[in-house]
Amino acid sequence: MGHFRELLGATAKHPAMLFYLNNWLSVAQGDQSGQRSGNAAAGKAKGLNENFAREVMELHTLGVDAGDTQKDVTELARMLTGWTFAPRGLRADGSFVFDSRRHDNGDKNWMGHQVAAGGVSEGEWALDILASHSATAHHIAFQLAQYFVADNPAPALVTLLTRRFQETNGDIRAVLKTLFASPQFWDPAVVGSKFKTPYQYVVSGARAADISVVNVQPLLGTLAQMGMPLYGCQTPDGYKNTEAAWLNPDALTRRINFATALAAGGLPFARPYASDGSLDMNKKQRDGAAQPQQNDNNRSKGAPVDASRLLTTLGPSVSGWTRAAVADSQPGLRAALVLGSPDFMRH
Amino acid sequence: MHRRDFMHTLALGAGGLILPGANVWAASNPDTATSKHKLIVIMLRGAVDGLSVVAPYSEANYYRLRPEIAVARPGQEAGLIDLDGHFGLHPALQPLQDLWQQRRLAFVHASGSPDGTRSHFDAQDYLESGTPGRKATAEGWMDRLLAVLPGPALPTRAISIGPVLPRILRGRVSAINIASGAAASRPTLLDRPQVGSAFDQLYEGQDRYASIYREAQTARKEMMSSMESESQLADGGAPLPNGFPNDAARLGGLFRNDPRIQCAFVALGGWDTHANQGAGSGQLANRLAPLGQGLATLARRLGPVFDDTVIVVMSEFGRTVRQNDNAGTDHGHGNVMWLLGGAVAGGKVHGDWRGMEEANLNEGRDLPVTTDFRAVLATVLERHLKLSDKQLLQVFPGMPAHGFDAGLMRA
Repeated sequence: MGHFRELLGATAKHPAMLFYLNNWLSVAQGDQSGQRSGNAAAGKAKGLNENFAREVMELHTLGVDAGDTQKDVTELARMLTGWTFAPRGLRADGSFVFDSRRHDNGDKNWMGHQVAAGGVSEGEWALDILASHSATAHHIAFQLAQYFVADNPAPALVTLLTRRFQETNGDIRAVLKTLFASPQFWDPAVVGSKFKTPYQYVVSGARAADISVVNVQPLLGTLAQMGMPLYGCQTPDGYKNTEAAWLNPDALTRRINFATALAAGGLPFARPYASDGSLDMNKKQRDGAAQPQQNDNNRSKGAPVDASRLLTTLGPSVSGWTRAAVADSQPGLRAALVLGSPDFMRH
Repeated sequence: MHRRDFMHTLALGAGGLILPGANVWAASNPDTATSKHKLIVIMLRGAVDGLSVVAPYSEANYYRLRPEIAVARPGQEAGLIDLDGHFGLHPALQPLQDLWQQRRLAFVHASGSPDGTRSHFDAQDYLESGTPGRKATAEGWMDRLLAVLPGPALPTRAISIGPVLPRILRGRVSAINIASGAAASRPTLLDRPQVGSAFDQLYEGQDRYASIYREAQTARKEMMSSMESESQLADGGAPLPNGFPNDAARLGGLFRNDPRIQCAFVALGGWDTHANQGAGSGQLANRLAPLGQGLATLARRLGPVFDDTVIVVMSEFGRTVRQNDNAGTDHGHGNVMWLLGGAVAGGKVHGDWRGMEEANLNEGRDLPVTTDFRAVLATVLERHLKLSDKQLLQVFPGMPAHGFDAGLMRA
C-alpha cells in the first residue's frame, strides 16, 4: 500500500486495463502503423479511442462532476495514444509498451495546459496532474469513507481525509490511519450499518457456518443470481457497496433462500468440482445456484449448521430481537433464521 | 388543458368504463388505471440478422451480396411474405402476418445504436443502459422508466422472465424476476409454510428491511397466485413446457389477469449466425419460428389488453450486408426494430432506408443507423406511456433531440 500515483500508473499500464478500456486500440488519427506492422491487434486500431481517457478522469481520479469537458477527454486520449501492451508473454507487471509510431505528436490543450509533443512522458505527466488534483483527493477520500464507514459519510470526515490525502501526496496508508482513528469511524450510529454486498453476504455466510467448501459452484451461482457474478461486473466503475444498489425485495428473498439452504446443509459444497468444458461462465455460475430441489446427491451435502455454535461465533452482532425469534422457533430452522436475519445482512 | 393531460384523463375514464369488475382491486383503486398502458420489451441477444427479418427483396444488391442466404422473393418456394412491394417478411414469421394486415405490426429499418462498437457485450450493455458509449451508467433504462412512470410504485409493476434480473431493469426500483418455463412456479424454501412463518415473525419489525421483506412476500404471493390461476385457466394445471411461445403465453395471461403489471422484459438468445445461417429455412429460420409464434400467442393472450400494449423487439446491432465465406454474417451496425400493439401505426416499414448500394453503407459493409434506437423508444414512451419531455430525458439522458418520429404511433 503506497501512494495513489503508483496505483494509478500501475492500472493505466496494466494489460487488462489497456485491453478492457480499449486504449490498445487508440492511435493517432490517420495513423497507418497497424497495416505497416502487420500486427493483428494494431490492425484493428482505426483511430482515437476515448474510453480509457474518459474513465481515468471520471472514475479513477477526478470524479464525474469535476468539470472536465469532452475536449479534455479527447485531448487526454491523444496524449495517451501509443500506450499499449505486448500481446505475447503477458505479464501483469511488465507487458506495457509505448508504441511511438501510434502516438499523436501534435500539440494538445488539456485542462487549461498547453502540452508540447513528448511521447510517453505526456501521459505520465497527465497522470501526475490527475493524481495531485484536489478533486481527486476529495473523490478518493469519499470512496474510502463510503466503503469503510457509511453510504453517506459525514462531510467533516471526507474533508479530513481529503486534507490528509493532499498533505501526504496521496499516501493511502496515512489516509486510512486517519480514517480508522476518526470519531466518525467509531460512531455507534454507523458501526455495523453497512448493508453487505452479495459477495460479502454469501462469503460471510459460508464462513460463519464454518463450512468446508470443496465445490464453489453453489456460492458462484448464488452470486450470479444476486446480480454480482464474480469478476463479472458490467460497468468500469466496479460493483457498488451501498445499500441503495443492493437492497430490494428480490435480493432479500434470495438471501433468505440461500441462508435457509446453507443452514440445512442442503448445498453441495462437498462435491468435487467437475468441469463440463463449457466456456459460458455466466451460465455455469447460474447453474450452480441455490436450488435445493435439484441437488439430489445427498453424499455431497453437509450436516445442518449448529445454531448455538453460530450464535457464539457471531456474538454481539446478533440482536436481542433476533435471538428471541430464534429461541422461539423450531430447532431445525434456528441457524437459517440467524443467517437470514436483518443483523446478518449488515456489517 | 395540455394535450397529454387530456389524453391521460381520457385514458383514466376509459379504463374504468371498459373493464368493470375485471379486477375488484383495480376497480376500487383509481391509481391502477395509470398502469393501463403496457410496455413489453423483447431483446434478441446475439444480434439478429435484420436483413433476413425484413428483407428489401426488390433491390438487386440484396441477392447479389447474399447469394446463399438471401430469402427468396415472394411467391417463390420458402419465399418472403410481401409487406409493401419493397420489403418482405421472413417466411418463418408467418404467424405475424395477420397482425401486419390489421396494422398492429410495424418495423423501423436501419435503426440501432449510434455507438459503433461491434462487441456483443458492449452493445447489449448500451441497449440496456440506454446510454450508448457510456459504460458507467449504473441503472438500466427500464429502471429509470419505472422511477418516472405516474402512479404508485407497486412491486409487481415490472417483471422479467429469465435466470437473473437483467441489466435493463437493475437499479433503484424493484422488479420481479421469474424463471423461464416450468421453473417459474417451482416453490422456493421460503414458500414452505413453516419457513415462511418463521421469517415473517423475524421480519415483523418496523425497520426498512422488514418493510422490504413484507413487500417481497406480498409480491411473491400475488405472482404465484396469478401464475397458478393463469396456468389452470390455460392448461388445466399441466406443467408448462419450456420455450418462448410458452413463456409468452404465460406473460400474456399475467398481464391480462393482474392489472398492476405494466412492464415486462424477456431476452432470447441464439442469433449470432456467423456460419450456415440458412435462408427461408435453416438455422435462423428455426430461431425465428418460435419467436413469431410466441409473439402471435402473446398478442392473442393479451386479448383486449393488446390494444393498450406496445411490444418492442430489438437487438444490439445488425449483421454485415454481405454474407461471409461460411454462408453466415458477421457483426454489423444498423438493424430493424419491431413494434407490435394496438397503439402502433402498423402495416408500415418506418425509418430512413437508403438502399444497399455500397456508397450508402456504414464503412462499406453494414446498414447505417439512420434512426437512433432511443428515438424509437422515446416516441413509444412519450405517445404511449405519456412521459413528459423532462421525464424522457431522465430515462435517456443525453439523447439527441432530433430523430423523433411521432408517425410511429397512431394519432
